[in-house]
Formats: sequence, C-alpha cells, structure tokens
Amino acid sequence: MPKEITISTNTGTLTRLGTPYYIVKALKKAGFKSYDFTMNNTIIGFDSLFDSDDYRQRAKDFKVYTDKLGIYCNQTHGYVPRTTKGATLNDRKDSYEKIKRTIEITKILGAKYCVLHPDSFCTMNENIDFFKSLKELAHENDVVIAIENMPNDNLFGKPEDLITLLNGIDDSYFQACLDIGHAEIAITGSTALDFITKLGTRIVCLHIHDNDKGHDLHQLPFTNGINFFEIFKALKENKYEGDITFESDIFQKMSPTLFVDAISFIREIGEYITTLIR
Amino acid sequence: MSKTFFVNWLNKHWNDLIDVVPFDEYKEVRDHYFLETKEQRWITELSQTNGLYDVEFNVVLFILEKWLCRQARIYEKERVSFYQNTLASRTALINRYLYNDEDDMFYDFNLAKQERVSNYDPITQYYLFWTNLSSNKKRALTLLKEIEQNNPQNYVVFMGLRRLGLIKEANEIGNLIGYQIDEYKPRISTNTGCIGAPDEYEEVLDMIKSAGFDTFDFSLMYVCDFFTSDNYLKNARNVKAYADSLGLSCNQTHNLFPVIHSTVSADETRDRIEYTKRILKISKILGANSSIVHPINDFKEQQNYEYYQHYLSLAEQLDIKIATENMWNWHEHKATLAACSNHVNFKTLLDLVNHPHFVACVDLGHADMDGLETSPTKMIETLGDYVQCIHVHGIDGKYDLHGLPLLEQTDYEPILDSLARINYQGDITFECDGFMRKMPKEVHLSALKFMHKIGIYLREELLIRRKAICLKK
Repeated sequence: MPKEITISTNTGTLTRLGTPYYIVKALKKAGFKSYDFTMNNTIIGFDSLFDSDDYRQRAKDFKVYTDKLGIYCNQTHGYVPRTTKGATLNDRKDSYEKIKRTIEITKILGAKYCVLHPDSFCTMNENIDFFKSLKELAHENDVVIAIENMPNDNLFGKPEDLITLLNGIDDSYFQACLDIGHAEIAITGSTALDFITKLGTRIVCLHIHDNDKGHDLHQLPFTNGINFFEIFKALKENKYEGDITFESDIFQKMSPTLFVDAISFIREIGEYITTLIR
Repeated sequence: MSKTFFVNWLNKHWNDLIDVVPFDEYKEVRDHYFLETKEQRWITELSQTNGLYDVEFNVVLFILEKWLCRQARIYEKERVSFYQNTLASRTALINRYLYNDEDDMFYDFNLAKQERVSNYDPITQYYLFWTNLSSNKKRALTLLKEIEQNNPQNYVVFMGLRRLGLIKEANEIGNLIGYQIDEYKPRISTNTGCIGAPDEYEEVLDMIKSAGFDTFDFSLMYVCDFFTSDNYLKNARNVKAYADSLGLSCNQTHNLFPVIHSTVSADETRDRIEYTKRILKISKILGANSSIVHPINDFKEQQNYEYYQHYLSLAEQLDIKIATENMWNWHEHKATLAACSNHVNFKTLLDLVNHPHFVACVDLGHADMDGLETSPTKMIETLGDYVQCIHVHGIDGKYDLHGLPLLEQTDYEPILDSLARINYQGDITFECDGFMRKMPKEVHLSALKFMHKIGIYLREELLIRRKAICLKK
C-alpha cells in the first residue's frame, strides 16, 4: 500500500507575508497540511530561524506553534552559501556553521529531508569531501541530506554527476532531490526523465516548478514549457513515494493580499498531480 | 523632521498620486527620500521615530515608494527595480514587526523593549487598508466609531474605506472633507473561447458562474454552425436565456477573424462579412455593449476605414459599438507592424473613421510585444477616450502567450496607472486562452477561480488609483 502523498510548498517565496509564523498560518488557511521550510540565503535574513544564537529555542517554539496549527514540515531547504566562480572548499567552510544549524533545525521541525545544493564551481572531489564532512551531523540528527541537481552546463546539471557524488559519499543518509525545473533547462543537456531513469529510487524528494526550458523561472506547473505528464508518469513507474513539493515563485508581481488565493491554486494543482503520480 | 515632510507631502497630494509631475518635483521628493532611506539593494530595517518603528511613517513611505516608482518609470528607469525591491522589503518588515495577528491590527514597535506598543491611533489602521496591507472590512467598520469628524487626516479613512469597497461609508467621510467617489465599477469578465466552443455554452457558462464571474465575453472568432446556420438568432436567444437563468450578463462579443486574408477566398470573404453582421445582431440579443472586430492585418488605415464601412450603419442601428483591436504580424522570429499595432496607426484609424460606434479594444498583451514600437501605456494614453474595452492577459515580452496576468512579465502597475489617468470607463475582460489551454481540464475551474480573484485585485487597484471627485467649487 503506497503511503499517502503530502502536498507542500516552500516558505521562502512568501517572505512578504512577514514572519514564518504568518507564512505557515497562510499555508494552513490555503489548505496545506505541510510546508517546506526555506533557510537558503536568497531571502532576506530576518525570517530565517538560524540567524540568531538561540536558533534551537526559536525552532522549538516554531514547532510548538505549527503542531498546534496542524501543519507539519515535510522537508527543509538548507543554507546555500554564496559562491563565485573559483570558490574553494575553504569558502564552503565559512558556511559550515550555518549548514550545521539548518540540519539541526530540520530535525527540530520534524522533517525527514534537508535539501542542500552541491557547489558547481568546486571539483567533484571537493564536493564529495564537503558532504562527507556532514555525515556525522546527518546521522546524529537522523536527517537525510537530499542533494539537488543544478541548472548548469557544468557540474551537477546531469544525473551522472549526482550519481558520482552520491557514490563518492556512499552513505544512505545522502540521497537526491530532483528539481524538475532545473533538470529541464536546455543547457544541462539532460531532462527530468534522464534523472528519473538513472537515479531511480535515490530520488527522495522533489522541487516542482515550470519554465521555458531556457531560464530558471520557478513558475507554476502547466503554465510554461515542461511536459509534466510524462515526468509524473515516469515517477509513478519508478514507484516514487516521496511528497509533492512546489518551489513555484509566482508571487513577485502580486500583492500579499492575493497570496492565500495563489497558494490555494497551487495546492489544487498539487491535488491533481497526486492523481498522476499514484 | 523627515516624517513631517512626508506626511505633509501626502496631505497635499493624496488625490493626485497618479499624475506625472515635472522632473524637478520628482527630484525634490526623491532627494528627501534618500536622506531617510539610504540607497542599497533593499532596505533591511524600517524607518524610526523616537525609538519606534512607526506604523504611520512606514506606510506613508510605502505610498511614497509607489509614487517614486511611478515617476521613475518616466524619468529614471534604472531606479525602478530599486523602488520595487524596497517596497517588497518594507512590506515584509511591516508584516514582520508591526502586524499583530491576534487582533489583525498594526502597532508601533518599541526598539528598546523589542515589542509592539499596546496603543494605536485608529487613523493609522486606515493607511493599511488604503495600501492593501490589510483587508479586514469588519475591523474598518468597527474603527469608524473612533474617528473624529474634524480630523485633518480623514482623507486616509476615506481612502481606506474606498479600497475596501465600503463606498457608502467612504462617501459619508468624503462629505466631511469635500470629496466623493464616482459610481464607476468595472465588471470582471472572461472570454468563453478559453473554456469551450459556442455550442457548449451551457457547460461553459456554468463554469464561468461557478468561478465567481458575473459577466462573460462570448467568443465567436471562428466559423461555426452557431452563426452560419439559419438558426443563429434562435441560438443567441438560447444563450441569453441560459445566461439570464444563471444571473450572468454578456459585456462584449468577439467577432469573426480573419475576414480578409490570403487563406480566405473572395467568396468566403463575402460570406464572412455577412457572418460578421450576424454576430453584431447576436451581440444585440446577448445584451453586449460592443463586439470586437479585428482590423485586416495587412491593410493600411484608408483600406481598413473602407472595410469598417460594411458594419457601421448596422452597428448604429443596433446601438452596438464596434471595437477594433491592436494586432501584430510575425516575421523572422519577432512581431512586426500590422494594422493598429501601435499607438500611432491605431489612433490614425480611429480618427479617420470618427464614428461614435467605433471604439478601441486595447489588447494589453499584444501592445507589450517587442518589435511593435509601442507599449500598453503608450497605447492607452494616446487613444484616451477611444479605449472602451481591454483584453487582459500577460506575455513574456515577445510571444503572444495569452497567459494569466501577474504570472507573466507584462507589468500591470503602469497599465493601471494609465487606465486611471484616462478615466477608463470599460470592463476588465480576460483573454487568457494560452493559460487555460496549458492547464489540464481537471483544474480548469480552479484556474478560472484564481483568474477571477486576480480580476478583483486589478479592479481594486484601478479604483483606488482614480481621483476622487472634489465637491468644492
């Protein structure tokens, strides 16, 4: 009996609503039962729980609130260091503390997966070493690190790169997050179907969004150029048992007063997707 | 000092915020603004007064940033994204620090104590309604009891109530300050063609009604039995009866296209001219105000003038307006000039025909296509009173996508400004065929519901931009 599918969306796109408390409240109002907690640095720092020394207590308080609200965290997006071309492992080390915090927060929030980006500007071996350095943390916290494919024409744009990375780390606490939008960007030379075929059950979670296959637009599924029908069919054939997690940033031109309606629409699309995937 | 300057500025300008001002006036306000807010990628903290993050100060700055953004689109395009980022950031920070979700109210934030203060000025809450940062109608009505009749800032209450659609209450306050709201309220409509064919009208209208619309644009763009058969008048009466039974009204129809084209034979063109006339009669039966009749894409203005003479006397007789639409051609991967494709040749045709039953339907997506030497705002403001209908959709700046507004690149902020400036009196009619075509059938109703919500938002934004009528002589 396959497990029930959870529909989730990331909190990072809803920053204009204010605190994480208001964001999860809006998600609940829109009918979501779960959320993907965003802790990457593409958003303004003030809404990330990890920005202060009492991050553990803040995360615990937030968990109490979400439990009471009846909404749970299915996955998080861990801190993404800002890198430039030529970044080295030392650059990543500066961010190690923040990544460590995001893994701990993932555990406190009760999520199973923490999605992390590999660094396309470092070598494969540097990436393997970096993720190996997180092994202990992942085991201690019982959090699976889901490594995401990147919209690049260099490292981690292709499924083979993720396979090499996962084989190099060689630990069951390190799996893959298929970012469907990234996978379909033409310059990667791959497609989401390639990732599903080659990574199979190593794909444990998703980032769902649409684009024109040229730009990483993070749009709503079924509004741009990606053929989601064949992708969800392939996931079904591969017995994907994870959640449906959106990373569709459709809010940039919207007033926050439209956000709940927009999120409700995303959820309704999610409910339709469940019929394709199960 | 800073707060006083900005509040005084708003006291003076609250009813002319959509006006384009001379550059020097913009520069003076901008320079004061940058003394308060340093120019950086985005603001990271709210503006303070006496150790407080002050609700009034920050919401006044929010209104000002919208105004600066509007002026920057004309004078300093490179600063537009700065103001947009700052607005997004200020919205987040206001919600982060000043909003209390327990009572759905906004309070000043004491920085030393790191907590919100417990008292509030009721006027400040109306700033939040005005700026759409809050939409709590019940709260707005409750707070009215705390408003003093002679408060010099009652224009804030007037604008807050107006934004919430509480027109009666707004006009009661308006009487005290010498302003009234006019009765214009656009209907929110969608074309039927994005859902189904004319003969599927029962299913289509059911869905439109379920989605929350009360108006529809009946699509008769392609040759079909609905109007080629001898029963076309009866067909129209059936649609009208069904729409009436649902409480739906038809605001406009979309007439046949193309009529004259290299793919259409001369005999067929003759038939199509007759069908176009039939659709005008159908429009009358449906109760529509206008019918969209495309110009012939490759015709010059004089040729299109002659072409429209086929229909004008019938339109006058039926009292149906013929709305001509801005079009485009396509050559070597980009849009190229066509009949009415830009503000200049569109106005030339309208001036040439010069008939009270001949008006403009501005297709906002078409006007946003690169290569046509125009923009939606140029088109709206050049055509002015001629604009009596709009086709609302969004594009990526290049292709005629007919996507959902606010999801695509087409920027509706300046479009709404322009519609308010010309005192647009028409409806908001969606033509999002591309959006609906890509959506699976199973989510069509959800998609239409969301489209309708966007329509309500666009309507609110348009209405709040319009100048209130000054009662003082």
